[in-house]
Amino acid sequence: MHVLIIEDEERLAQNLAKAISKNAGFVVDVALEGNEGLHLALSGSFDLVVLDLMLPGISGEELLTELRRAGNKTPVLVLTAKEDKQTIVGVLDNGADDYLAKPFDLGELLARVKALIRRSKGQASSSLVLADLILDMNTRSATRAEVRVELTPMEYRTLEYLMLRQGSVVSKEELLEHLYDYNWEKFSNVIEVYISALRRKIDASAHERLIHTLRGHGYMLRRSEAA
Amino acid sequence: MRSIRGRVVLLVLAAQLVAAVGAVGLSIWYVHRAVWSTVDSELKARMVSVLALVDDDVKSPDGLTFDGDQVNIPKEDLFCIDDVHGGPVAGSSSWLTTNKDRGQHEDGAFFFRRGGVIYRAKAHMNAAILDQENHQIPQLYVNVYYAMPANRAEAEIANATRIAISVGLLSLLISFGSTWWAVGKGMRPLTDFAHQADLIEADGAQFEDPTGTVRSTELVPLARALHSLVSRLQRAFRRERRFLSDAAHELKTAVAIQKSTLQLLEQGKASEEELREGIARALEDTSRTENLVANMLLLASIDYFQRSTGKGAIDNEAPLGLNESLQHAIDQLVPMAKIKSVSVVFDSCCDLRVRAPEYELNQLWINLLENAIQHSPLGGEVKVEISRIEGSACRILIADAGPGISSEDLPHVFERFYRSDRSRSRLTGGFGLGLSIAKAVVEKNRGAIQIENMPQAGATVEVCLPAVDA
Repeated sequence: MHVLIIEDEERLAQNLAKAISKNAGFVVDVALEGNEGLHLALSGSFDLVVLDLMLPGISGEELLTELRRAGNKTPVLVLTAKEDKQTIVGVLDNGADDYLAKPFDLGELLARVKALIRRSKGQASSSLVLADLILDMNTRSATRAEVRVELTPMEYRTLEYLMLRQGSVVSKEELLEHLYDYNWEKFSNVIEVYISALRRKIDASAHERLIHTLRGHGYMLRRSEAA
Repeated sequence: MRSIRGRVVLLVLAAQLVAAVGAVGLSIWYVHRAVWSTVDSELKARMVSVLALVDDDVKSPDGLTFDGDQVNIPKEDLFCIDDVHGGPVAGSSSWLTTNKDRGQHEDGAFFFRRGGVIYRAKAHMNAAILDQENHQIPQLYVNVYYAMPANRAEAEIANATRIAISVGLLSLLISFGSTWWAVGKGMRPLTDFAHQADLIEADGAQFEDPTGTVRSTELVPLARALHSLVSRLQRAFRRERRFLSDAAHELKTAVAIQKSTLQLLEQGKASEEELREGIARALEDTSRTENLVANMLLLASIDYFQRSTGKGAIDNEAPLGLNESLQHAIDQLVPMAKIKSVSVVFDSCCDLRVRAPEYELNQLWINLLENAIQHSPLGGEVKVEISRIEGSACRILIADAGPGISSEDLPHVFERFYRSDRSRSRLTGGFGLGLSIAKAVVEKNRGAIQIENMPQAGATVEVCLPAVDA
């Protein structure tokens, strides 16, 4: 997952980035200024935007309006020091998906970040299920036929993204965008490496194949038609 | 009477009353005169008709006869004819016997009362009797008295008086009513104002400019004054509210940073080194919060001082040496200047002293110098210059060689929590309070501060403070 934090207080942004990447295993980019934040958010390669309302450059509210006007559907979690109903209602009406008042609890922030991402991918539960493959987003672990599958953090991230988007085709570019930070080498074959590792750990010993390759299009997680 | 309406009505009624009394009096006097003059001419006519019946007595010289059969006058009338010596010639029987009603009157008209009836009477002394037969020059003279009841005339006058007084009273009543109504209507806009003023919220919201809606021109100045008062209050409230909201944002953010730094340490396992680093970071965050709180408290205390004691109650401060005070601040900032390789050039002056609290003065120089150093290019120079200006005052110039201030920021740099280029200020840990504090300190100490861009490069802050010689 790829999260963008737009927050002008550098220390706070760093702390948030650290917490999200360490705890949820997401990739985090930080923008310290409104215009830069808007530019990044409009690229569409983020699964969630954490947005502070008081920003230099353009304000959080303006940024949100611009983002939604451009048709961007990325979930936005707003951080605000204002707790009055008017601000909260205004922000939610303006296209935000959730808000958190400063000073907030890091645990709560992480839970909301994960829930928002889950929801936006059409998943209600924090455990993602496909046939006998179960992925627990809280403990960041996977089991296949009730046997724990040992995964590296990058393998887990890749699997988690594919699981959240199960049933639809995910291109290599999309995986690159959402799993690595934006200056990653786009032409590397790192995705092929992780997919083959996942195949080996998940599909090799099982009777049903779940990871499918659609040549020229990308990858898809689904049950085999044969089964 | 405290009510304007009551006072106006009373005044109008008093004037009206004087006018009414005059008018009623005049008309009564006129009616009086007209009625009595009619009565008197009638009286005279009847008297003449009675006189015509007097003739000379052929039997006795100087004797007079009265042709009593020819008398044709209303039976209530009284008359009496005497010869010039006072001897009775003829008359109404009742009047001949009692002479008292006639009194001692000479020629002229008079009143008397008889049997409950008021009479109007006329006396004519030495009336000449014309000889009807030979038309000779009259030789006969008599005194004649004639009286007739005046009831009808009296009643007429009383009636006219009643009507005049009633009309007067009615007009008083009408003017009372119309004045009461008109003044009430005239005062309505005031009542409306009061009502509108009542609706003004503490923050001055919900108040529309009443100048356009006021119909009475006399109320326009009031409307304008009220509107400008409320607008000023609204602006003050907005400023205060913005300050509060900005302060809350800064404080909450500062706390959020501290909290997140600590919670980050709490999560997962951390090595001793990581823990130490974390604690150092938490301490750093705490001192930042401390700095913010100290700045806000300083501002609040200056505000409080200025509100409670007014400007300029600083005369009991001990005078501080200006050179020493600036040098001390510059020394404190040497490490910061070194990091940016900025040199501070101090051009001290004659020995001037300033009456100001030491802490405030130090904070003033620190804030201004920090600002100048931050905005200086790497290896730049900050110039500090003191000079004496006219009167007992001094001028301190602090100039940097940075990019200067953009014209859109220039009017706002002294506003609280205003950051011109926020991303830059953030990196230096500023809260946008430094220049606000500088301004507050200078103004509290009866000085003036301004900032402007220099034509070549950089910005210059000019501070003027009252000074005394050492």
